[in-house]
Amino acid sequence: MTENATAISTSLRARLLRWLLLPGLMLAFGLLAKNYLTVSEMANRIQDRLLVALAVTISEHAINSRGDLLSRDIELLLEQFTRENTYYRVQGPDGAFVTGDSGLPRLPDGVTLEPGVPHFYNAHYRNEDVRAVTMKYLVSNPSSNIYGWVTIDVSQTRRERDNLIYDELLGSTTDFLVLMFLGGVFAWIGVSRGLAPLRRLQQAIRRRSTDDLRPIRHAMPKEVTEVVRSLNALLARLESSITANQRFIADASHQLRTPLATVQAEAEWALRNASDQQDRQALERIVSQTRQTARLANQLLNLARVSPEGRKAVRYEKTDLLALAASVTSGMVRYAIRHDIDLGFDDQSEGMNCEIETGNEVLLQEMLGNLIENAILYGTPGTIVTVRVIGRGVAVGPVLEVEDNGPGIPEKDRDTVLERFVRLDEQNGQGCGLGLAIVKEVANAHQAVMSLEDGKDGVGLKVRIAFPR
Amino acid sequence: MRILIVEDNLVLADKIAAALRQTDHAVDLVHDGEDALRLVLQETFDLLILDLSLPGLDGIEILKTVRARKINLPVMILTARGNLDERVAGLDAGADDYMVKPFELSELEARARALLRRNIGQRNPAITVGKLTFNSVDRSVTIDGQPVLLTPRERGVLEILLLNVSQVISKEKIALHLFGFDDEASVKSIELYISRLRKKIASGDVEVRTIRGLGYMIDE
Repeated sequence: MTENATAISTSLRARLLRWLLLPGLMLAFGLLAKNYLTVSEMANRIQDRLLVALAVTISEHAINSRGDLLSRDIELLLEQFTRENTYYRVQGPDGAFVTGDSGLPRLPDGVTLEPGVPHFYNAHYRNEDVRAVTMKYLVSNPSSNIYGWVTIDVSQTRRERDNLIYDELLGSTTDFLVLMFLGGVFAWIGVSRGLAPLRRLQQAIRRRSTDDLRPIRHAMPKEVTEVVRSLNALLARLESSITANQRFIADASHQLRTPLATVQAEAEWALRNASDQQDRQALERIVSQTRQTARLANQLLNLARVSPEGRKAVRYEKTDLLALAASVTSGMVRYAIRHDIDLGFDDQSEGMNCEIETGNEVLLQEMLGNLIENAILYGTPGTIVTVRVIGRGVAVGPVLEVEDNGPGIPEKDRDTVLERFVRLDEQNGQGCGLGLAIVKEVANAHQAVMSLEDGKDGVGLKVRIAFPR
Repeated sequence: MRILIVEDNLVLADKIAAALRQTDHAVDLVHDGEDALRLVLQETFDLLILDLSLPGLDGIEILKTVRARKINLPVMILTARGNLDERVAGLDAGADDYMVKPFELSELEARARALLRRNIGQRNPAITVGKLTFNSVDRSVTIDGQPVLLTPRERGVLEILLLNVSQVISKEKIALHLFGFDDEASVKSIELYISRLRKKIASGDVEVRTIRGLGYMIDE
């Protein structure tokens, strides 16, 4: 998996939520803006009508009272009802000031007033925003001393209107937030529930053992079936390639082993019947080389079997290490005797259980066989080789040890001998350099820790395989 | 003793036959499965050495037929297929032993001898190792034809070791064979019987080996 792919896989829910919430938020802002505009439009219209009514009333009053201001009572009344401060100014023809507030904002430049048509505008007065109206009309009242075009300005603060808009906005914003939050929660639940089949699929895959390549048979929603189908196809391909690989190994083993067996039998037979000293030496060399080649072929095949790509089809089950080690050791006793090696077994289990929860008998036999074979082949006549099994402890699993008092491996070389085809002693014609590599692979397959240590009293080699608890 | 070798590789078959003939056995050779089966059903053999991958008829099929007919014939399988499933299949089908190619001739000879000895009863009741002969009918023991006097316990120990020549037998198994149970005291007593037995058969070119931590083994 690339970084990218993991990022996508972890943020699928986030991506879905983003797609749900971002347009939702934009929609909410749009609605809020529209709401704001509508409300302020309405408030303006209401205030404008009030202003016109006031303008008409005030100017009537001013004209009728010949330029009197509104009485204090009326002003108070006005304030009480509208909750705004009201300022006005009445001008007679030619701009002559009749009454009111002479400092009131003027009509913006470039506006020509139509008679009887009010002009509305926003202005600033006494450190407050005000809404203002200006209109002019013809006075031809014989009872007043004013005759001609009268201009009236009325301004009113906008506190109430702003409060109204503010309340309205606050209310609808709260509503929207609640709505968004609930939407988010439901979206989260929905997304989670929508992704649940994927999570089930993931768990189903994770619970599988490494060698279980059967197709996945879980009920899946439409959108995921395609993924599962592709996955199953992949599994099928993998399985067939593993099977082919194993078949190849079996074929190769067969093809290699029979001719080798023939050569070996021929050479041994010739050696038995050879009387000439030179012939004997040549034949002995052939026999030992053939044995080595045979061993190499065997080990190559074994390595192919135990390497990660070859062991996928391996079944792991509860395995008793003590019984297995004893039987493998027994089987190698005669081989050891032929090489004049004292091979023995040391049961240190002390009645503790020596079971490995997930062990594979074939691989473990192969591993122990290799260790014993190494000790025998690299040992000199009289070398003592001991296979030891230590029982499971409180915090540790069972331990398998193969100890000898043979030549050992120098400390500086202990890492390199685990690599394939590394041999320390080129003079020794027996090993082929795969034994310990196989041991290491099998230990890895069992999550066991392999270590090379000095044998008893610093002589020889002790290979220790500590299995997990 | 009469041995039948079924192996399609002529050179290899030839060499195995030659090696076995050296030890005074009568050896017949066939190279294909159907011939082998015909021969096994008609004639009597003491040992069948059988390759698994044969032309004509698979070795396992031959083995199954032999076992189904209740023919008392030890069978050693010879094969290049060395993985465990194959081995188990072979042994499940009734093989007595199993050798994976390539092998050493001497190893094959030793195992063939062990199988021939194990097949005691109708044809040859005597087991011979070195100069020592054990008659499985009257359980008498002779060295160079001279009778050896053994106690019943010593005789029992020798018997189980001889029935499993070249195989390691644990003290527990010996105790079970002698007493029918394997408590600690009886297992301890085995050492005593072994040491007495060793003294009595020392002249017979037979060695009862102690295998450290595993038990005992009789070997030539």
